Amino acid sequence: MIQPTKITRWLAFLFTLCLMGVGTAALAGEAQYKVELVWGTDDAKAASPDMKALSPDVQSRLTQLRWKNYFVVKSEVAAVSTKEAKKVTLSDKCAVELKELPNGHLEVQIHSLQAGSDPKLVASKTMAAKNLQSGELIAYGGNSKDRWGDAWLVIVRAEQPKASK
Amino acid sequence: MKTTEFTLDLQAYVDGELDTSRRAEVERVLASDAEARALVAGLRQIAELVRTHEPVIQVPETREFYWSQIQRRIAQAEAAEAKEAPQASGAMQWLRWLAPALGVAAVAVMVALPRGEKEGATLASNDTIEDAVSMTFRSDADGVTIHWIN
Repeated sequence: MIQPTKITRWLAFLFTLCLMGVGTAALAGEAQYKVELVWGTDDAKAASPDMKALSPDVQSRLTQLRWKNYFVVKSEVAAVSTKEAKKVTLSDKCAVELKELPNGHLEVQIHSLQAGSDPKLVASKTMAAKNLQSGELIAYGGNSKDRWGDAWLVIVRAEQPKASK
Repeated sequence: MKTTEFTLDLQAYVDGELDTSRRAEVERVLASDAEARALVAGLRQIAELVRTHEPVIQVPETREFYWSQIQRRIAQAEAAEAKEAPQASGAMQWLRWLAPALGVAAVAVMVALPRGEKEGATLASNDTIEDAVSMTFRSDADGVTIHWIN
């Protein structure tokens, strides 16, 4: 006859195995993406002290745009899978929805938000997830309606796992 | 050496264009005519200068590459010309059938669509499929794609 303590140990062992299995599956099916709302301006300083300068690595790659400085208004990391779309609200006017498609592409939808009404899909574009994982960026941009000459950007890139020190 | 004809002979001599008998005659004159020798020396110097200082332009591809491009373009142009006439007539035939078919389809859609449905329905977020992207910038070098929205 098996003693109760042994049963408890076995159950604990099996439970741990299950947890490991679930965790591994979740990690395998999800990819991390960094979504940033960025303000493009010729001003030297950010409009708010909460805004930080965009990382030089990314800024140096925005060669097609003309603004001198880019400040991050909000930055979020989203774990995205093929199972469901992940919505990231970047401001009271803008949200982004990310979804891994079965064909290996990441779909990036941008939604316009307005109080009292449903979100409005503004645009939807895709990029091969492997390209994003290899360091490519996909971004939406537009001229600012609040301030002439400035621009907003939503930059999506793969969040690389931080190397352990 | 006073005549123009002899001066031309000297130029031909420097360029190695004289036949054997004429070359022997020129060499005989040169042996006794210092002015002719000076002219020959000057002509040789000029020829050497031109040879050594002529700019050499090198194209990045071989001549075979350019020839193959030219041949390909000619072949494409000929093929396009050959296709153009029959395609045009084929397209016109299709249009003759397509235009009335599209008209019938449009009427059918208008009749089939219920008119009151939209009033009671609420727009889900994905129902608005108006893509506002006006242009797309792509930089392979930077690995960046930017979709610009108006």
